[in-house]
Amino acid sequence: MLGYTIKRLLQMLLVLWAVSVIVFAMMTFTGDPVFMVIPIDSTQAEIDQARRILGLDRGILAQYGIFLANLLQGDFGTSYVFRQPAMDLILERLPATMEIVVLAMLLAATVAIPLGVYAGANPGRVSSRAIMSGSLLGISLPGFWVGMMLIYFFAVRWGWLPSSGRGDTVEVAGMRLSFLTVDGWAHLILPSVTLSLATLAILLRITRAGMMEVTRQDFMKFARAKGVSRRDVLFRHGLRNALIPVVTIFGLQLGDLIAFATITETIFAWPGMGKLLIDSIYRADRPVIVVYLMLVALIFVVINFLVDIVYTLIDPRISVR
Amino acid sequence: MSFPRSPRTRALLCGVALAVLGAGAASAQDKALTIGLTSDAVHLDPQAGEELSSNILYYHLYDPLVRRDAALDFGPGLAESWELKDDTTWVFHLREGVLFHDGSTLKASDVVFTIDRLKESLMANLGANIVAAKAVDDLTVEITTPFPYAALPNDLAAVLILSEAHVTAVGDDALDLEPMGTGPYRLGEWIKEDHITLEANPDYYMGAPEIDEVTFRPITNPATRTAALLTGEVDVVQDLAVRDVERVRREEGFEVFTRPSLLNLVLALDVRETSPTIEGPNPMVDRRVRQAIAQAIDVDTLSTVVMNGLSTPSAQFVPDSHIGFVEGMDFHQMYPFDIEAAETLMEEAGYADGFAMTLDATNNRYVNDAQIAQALASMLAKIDIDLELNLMPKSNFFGYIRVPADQSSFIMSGWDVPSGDAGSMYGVMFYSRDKKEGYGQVNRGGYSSGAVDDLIDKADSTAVVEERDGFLQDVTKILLEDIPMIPVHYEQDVYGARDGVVFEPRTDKFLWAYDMDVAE
Amino acid sequence: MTAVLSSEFVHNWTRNASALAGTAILIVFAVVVAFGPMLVAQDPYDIASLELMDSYKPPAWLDGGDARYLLGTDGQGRDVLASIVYGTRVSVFIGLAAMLASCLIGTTLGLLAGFHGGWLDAVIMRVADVQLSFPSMLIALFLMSAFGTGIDKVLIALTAVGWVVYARTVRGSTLSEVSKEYVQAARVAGLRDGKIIRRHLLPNVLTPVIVVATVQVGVFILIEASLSFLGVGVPITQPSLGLLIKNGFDVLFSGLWWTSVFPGLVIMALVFGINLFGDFLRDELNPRLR
Repeated sequence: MLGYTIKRLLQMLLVLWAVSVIVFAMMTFTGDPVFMVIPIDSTQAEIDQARRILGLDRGILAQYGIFLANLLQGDFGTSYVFRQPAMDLILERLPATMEIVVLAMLLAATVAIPLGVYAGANPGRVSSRAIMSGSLLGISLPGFWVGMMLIYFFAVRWGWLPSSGRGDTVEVAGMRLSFLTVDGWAHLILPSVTLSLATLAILLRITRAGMMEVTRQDFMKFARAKGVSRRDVLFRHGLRNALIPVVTIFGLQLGDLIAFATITETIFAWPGMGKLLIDSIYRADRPVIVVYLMLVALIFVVINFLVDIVYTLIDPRISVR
Repeated sequence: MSFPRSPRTRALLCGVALAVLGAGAASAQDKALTIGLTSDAVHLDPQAGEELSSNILYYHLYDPLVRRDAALDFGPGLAESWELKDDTTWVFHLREGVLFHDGSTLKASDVVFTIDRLKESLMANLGANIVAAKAVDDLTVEITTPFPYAALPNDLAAVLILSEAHVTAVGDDALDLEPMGTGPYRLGEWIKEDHITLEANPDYYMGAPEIDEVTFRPITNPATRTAALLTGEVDVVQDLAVRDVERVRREEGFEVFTRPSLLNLVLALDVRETSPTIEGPNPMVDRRVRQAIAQAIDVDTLSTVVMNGLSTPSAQFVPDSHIGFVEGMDFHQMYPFDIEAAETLMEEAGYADGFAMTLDATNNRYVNDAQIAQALASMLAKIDIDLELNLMPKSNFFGYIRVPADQSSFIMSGWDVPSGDAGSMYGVMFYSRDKKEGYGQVNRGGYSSGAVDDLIDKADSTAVVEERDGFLQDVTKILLEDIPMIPVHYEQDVYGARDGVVFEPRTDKFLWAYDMDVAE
Repeated sequence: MTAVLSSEFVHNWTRNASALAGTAILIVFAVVVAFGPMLVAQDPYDIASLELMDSYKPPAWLDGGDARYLLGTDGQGRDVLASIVYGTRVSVFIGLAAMLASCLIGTTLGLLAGFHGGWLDAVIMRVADVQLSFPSMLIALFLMSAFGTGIDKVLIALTAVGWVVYARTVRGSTLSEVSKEYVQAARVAGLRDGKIIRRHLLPNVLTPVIVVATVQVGVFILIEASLSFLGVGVPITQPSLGLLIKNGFDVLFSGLWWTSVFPGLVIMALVFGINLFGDFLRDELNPRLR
């Protein structure tokens, strides 16, 4: 277990390092950030002054060296555009993103797992087939288009829900949270539904597949033969085993949700870190992009690590390598 | 879709929506206003950068020495009056008893501090024509310019005065988060990307503002912004999408405000012997080809169709209110849309078969920029000019078209001159390149005219505004004749507001709550 | 591989309603992609032929509609139907080409990693690990922001994120095949590595690859649409379905719904068809993956 943790930790450091190198290398292709922050009629002397202020007057290798040296002292760099520490900018927006991501995940799980179990337990029924076709449609829909349609109907045509923003928030331990106010919930619903759709469909399909796999297995037949009722067999024995693949996919899905939150946040003007990433890309604000990607990689690796641990807990046959 | 459909949930949701609407109207005695901006402010330190949202906020929090009103007329701000001491020295007399938000009094030393800090900042450009500032006494500042410079007061309208004590206390970087000035509002709270709330400054030197609390909400997507206005989440929106204008006009309880902006969309033509994206010699060296291009572009159709009627074809390179504008001259009357005339000109110049080149343009900077670029390609195709479109986001564009890089033949970009004076634009855009520091650095087409250079030199060495105007008008006449650049149109600034908001758009787009009111 | 041609496969195919539905949808799209330009009157890419005066006409059956433009026009006077036909070609081309490139590169690397083992295996799999620590959408988004727009750049970005899944799948199957007797026997018989890979390994690892590839086309089409929606995908002069939706989004609230609703429905139908078919393939070719 300890060896495994250390291995994963090293792997994580490798990933983070690779991210920083790649981002630095790739960003040399993008626009020169200097031109995003100074007036277009600046003279060469003013451009040079701006480069000096932003630390862009050195070669890319030297810049990378400075970045690494600062990183080791806990300084993740300063945004060219905001002139604030990049990490602060992102952490400030992290709770907003996590709010829609977690809600979308919960929404997906609470809808997908029962439906998936049902469809897997009764594969022949028309209702099961309808559920499966619906789930296939769910993964075939472009999420941004769904978001547009939701805004159009729920916000503009019918006026039931607000179209954008976060609404009232409550500050808890330095984080602003929407889900503690009624107004906040009204704002949360549309973005979360939009974001959850694809995940819902995928979780549903995996639950069903797991369930069908399980019903074929010997211990189930054995239990049935012993006279345990079908329902009991399914939910006592089947479900637990069927959910193992669902747990593994959980980590991957969370990463995808964070990625697709960039689009959802852009449509709903949700003040999360995904929108910050898109804005930073448009502004060639490299320090923010680097830190964002490193942070997402970190979240991803940690979640997958946790998933592996949970995995061993629900399925004692497997031990972590 | 898994949206709850039971009647009870529906009723609940409606209730929520009503509660949201109610919250805005509840506090009747405390007037409040919510404004939807296109983006969040990036800075609240006026010397850290400039873009529209930050500029709007700056003018709520700080004041300049010279005030620019909604119609671009310049008048006293923190400075009550000013005069020329000699050709290059100006004396500004500060208003007495102006208070910063922290209760301290504005002093001449704050002005000197501001200008010194400005010259070391990213915005050094704003103080390019200032050599130094000196406090004579507590209420008098002397500012020297490198040469006689008539437009100094106009320039100073963009220099916002900071408190020396405050900046020194909080530090340079923290000023962004803890701004403090003399302006009509002070910062309440700033939740990034969500809202900025400002509270009225009761001690404002021109009197306390009508509206007690102003909230700015960044809503980037134009469609979402329209929706936020229509659902009552915001009272005013900036940059209402041109296609949404009709819809908002039709809707009961909303009003649309438009105002021609200062932003002139222009096409820069490369006039050098060879051009980066053109094979062989550059046809645009020939004035007839440049005129043919001008006559092949139908600015009226651009305005009615692409801009939905919300643009004004530009007569010259600067608006008619500006120093350097020549009364009675109109580019599009000199070179009216006429395909046949354009074809004849191309033939005379020896390019009956046309030629190919690339248009560099943005796709997220100006109103409908990508559509305009496509429309231009379709118009120039009619005189056999094959326009390849190279559309980029603004993050790449301004570096790409930068003069030393020289990758462009034909560039579409916008230019605005809020100082109300053509000189700064002419100096950087039409002065021969590499001849004089601070001149010609945005001369993208490589235009060079001895007469223009001389006139700009003369304009920049007189301290008499009328003389300057005369020299710059002569430049305008030469440019209209030479066609190194085609002025296309001024965008119209479009705002949407709910009924009851008293609001007059400013020419410089800087929404200012101090000038607004809401009906009870 | 042989499974695809077996009579049992064909039998199941014709008996499976969703497989047939998927096939039907894909045939319609194949016709559109192959012959579409002959079926619509306008070439939306020929910028000189567009009439600005015809911009934002509603669909033909609505007030103000024009019989020449069945599904209405966009802001440049482009026929929405023609734009969808051409946009579908762009989307399908990107999906297929990026899938083929990913498949080729990923399968090759997977075979090499599995067969060769050692340092090569370690390097390829570490790179794959690093990549898998990111959602592919994020990687593609980041690459596009660095490259700028363009169909070629979208292809590079998608291939860069797409090869990993093949490399992993193929490496896994290769490892299990390599340990089998027939491969050992071939090695003992002195067959060259290249021949073993071509003759014996490739046919046996291809089944899961086919399943992955089918579904990936749909995934790529959606990722490309998302990139274009964010403004970092295809150029505006050659809009894909995603870019058409984005252009339509800007005017959705002005009541000009046809410019975004129709392309949205088309992309949904296209990806739905691909997924229906892919689902069936997976059930047939690899029941254990179900």
